[in-house]
Amino acid sequence: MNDPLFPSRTARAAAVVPAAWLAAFFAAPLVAMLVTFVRLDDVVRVASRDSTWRVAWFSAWQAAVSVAATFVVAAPVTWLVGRHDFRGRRALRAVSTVGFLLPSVVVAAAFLALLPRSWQYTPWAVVLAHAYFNVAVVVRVVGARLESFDDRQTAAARTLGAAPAYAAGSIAWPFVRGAVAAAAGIVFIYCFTSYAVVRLLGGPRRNTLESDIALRAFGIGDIPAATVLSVVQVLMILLAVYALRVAAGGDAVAARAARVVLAPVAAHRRWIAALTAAVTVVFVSTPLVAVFWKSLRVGDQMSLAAWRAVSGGDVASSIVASLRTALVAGIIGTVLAAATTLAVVRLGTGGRWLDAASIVPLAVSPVTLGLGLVITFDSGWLDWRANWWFVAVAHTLVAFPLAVRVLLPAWRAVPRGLHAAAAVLGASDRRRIVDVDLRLARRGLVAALGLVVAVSLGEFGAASLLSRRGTETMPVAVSRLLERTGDTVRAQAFVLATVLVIACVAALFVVELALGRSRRAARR
Amino acid sequence: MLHVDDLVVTRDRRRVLDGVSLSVARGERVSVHGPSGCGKTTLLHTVAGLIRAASGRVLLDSTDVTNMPPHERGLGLVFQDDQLFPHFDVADNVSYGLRVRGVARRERRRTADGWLERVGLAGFAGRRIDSISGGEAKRVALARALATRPRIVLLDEPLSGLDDALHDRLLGDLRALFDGLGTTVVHVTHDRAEGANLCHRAVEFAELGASSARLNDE
Repeated sequence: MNDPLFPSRTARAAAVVPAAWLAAFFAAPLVAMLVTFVRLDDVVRVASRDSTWRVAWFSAWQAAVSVAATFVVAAPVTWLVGRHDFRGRRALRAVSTVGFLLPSVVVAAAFLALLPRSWQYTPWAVVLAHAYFNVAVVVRVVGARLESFDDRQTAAARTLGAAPAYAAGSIAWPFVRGAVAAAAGIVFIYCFTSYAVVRLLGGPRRNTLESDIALRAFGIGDIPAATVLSVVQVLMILLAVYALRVAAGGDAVAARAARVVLAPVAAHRRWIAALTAAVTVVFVSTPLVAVFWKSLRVGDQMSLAAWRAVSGGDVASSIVASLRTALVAGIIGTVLAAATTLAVVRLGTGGRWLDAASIVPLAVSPVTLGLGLVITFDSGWLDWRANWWFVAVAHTLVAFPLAVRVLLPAWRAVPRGLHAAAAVLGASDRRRIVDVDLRLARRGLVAALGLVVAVSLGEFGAASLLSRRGTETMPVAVSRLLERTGDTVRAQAFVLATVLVIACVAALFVVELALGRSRRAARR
Repeated sequence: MLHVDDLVVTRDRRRVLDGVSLSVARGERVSVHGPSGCGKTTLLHTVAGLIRAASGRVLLDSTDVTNMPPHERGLGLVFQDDQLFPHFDVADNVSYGLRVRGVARRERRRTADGWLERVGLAGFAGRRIDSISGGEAKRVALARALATRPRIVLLDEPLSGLDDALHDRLLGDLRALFDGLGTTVVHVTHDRAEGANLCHRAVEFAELGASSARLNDE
């Protein structure tokens, strides 16, 4: 860019940081996995095994059923918050989002706590937990689209002779179908690659590709097969992402720039609205209440014995390990996100490349990332697998692409004129980045930090491969404790799950607070 | 003092400035008139270093600053829309240029208070930017531009958007201030009367050698 106000030297220097990080901890491990372990005979061996197809089939059908279940559960509340204005609307939307923000291990633990024994370790438990998780996706993606639909368009169709169903099908549906397809695609990908929920709720004989990769690599020691399955999964995710983009780009009608005024709930529909809100609140809160309730029970007795374990032993050390890991991941992830954002905003084509590269880690599952890191950093001075901070390195890869998405709008909202004013007053480019960009985008930075911390606290896939006994993170400890027998041990798992919920909610509260203030400041 | 020599600026392969030349002597106040969209703001921003010239030269005190970054030119610029820093209070806005130059906090505050008094805003130091009026914001922007004692001050429609009474009062204040300081000023405006009232010399933008096509670049 030939712009005296934004010389690209600083941005190029900033771009080196995330590029080097991605090259060292993302690209190199994946390449090492492919080069070392993918052989034609392994591909044939994996493809010719019945269990491979069984796992692939289970991954696909449970994901498809989970998508359907999610839409059934989410449709009423999406319709309510997407088309109506009422007191408590924002609160209801926030409540419906809670499930998505919780660590997968907590959701799995919650449904173990809630469901009767006959339902535990069944595919239906998995589907129900997936629906709980993903209601938020439908509410957010489809609800946001519905919000911008102007009812007068169907009214116009009605005046031209269209029956209500025909008007809905020919006018409203083309407006929302892209969002519906996008939401369905996102939910499918999440469920297809599900790990913690399947491992804890599906029972020992049910695996998705994701849990099968972990099982083969660390349970059986068949790393070549795990690598082949990882490649298959990455290809399938990329295919799904492509389909998602095609579907999401297929909106027949562009969203209106002007905000549509939502109508209040009609008097004769108020009981439906109240029922929908009540069912949503109960659906979201009951599993969480069940987790807390189970933490207070040892066997059939009420007891605080499990909570007393928080002050010492494995439970305490996993809390410390999680907080320490999340803090380190948060700091590194925020620095990476800031450097990436600066480069994306300042550099033309190079920025677009870095923008795209920063999303790529999201296409690779955490288990695959963890597997790559374990394989690559395993000898000589690069043997970092046993170090607690290596989990934080893995978490930065999972979380910093999300942090970039949070930070970019805040950084882009910094008026160019303020840079001009600071430059004329004598501030160098680096000085302006500190005094103007970082100061004005500080709430975005806080939100990015909170998001990385929250993701790190709840991340299970990579941590389950990299954590070591004594320094295992909370989700890994919850999983281990739930897989053991004994009433006290299970109660301790629910204690940890409760602590995890509190920690994640606190981190996400910081994110929401920072983003809310950022939006209000932008409106001023 | 300031020599702009055959300046050409292009945008999207169109010539926004086409061979503009202008000379301003030390202590002189020159007003450049022209209709909206003729390239006045582009001229000031190019002199300030915020826009890169395709060809031509900008000389300040006989030094060629054409390729010098904006923060090294030592100019003052009052933006048409003020561009006050929303995350700083009034005093921190006024003293920002001094902070960049490493001036100690106490000295900065003293200087800011002095400039605020000069522009009629004594007691405004701790006010938030979003709590002051449009006229007050213009005065803060002027104080900020002057606080570093720049070699030359560039005024980009500094009184636009004000009601008549406030416009006339601020115009009088500006003239008195510049008379007292002996500041070198380039002032661009579409308001001939404002230019004639404030400056020693007024020139038409079209006379500077610009093609003066309406470009809607402002």
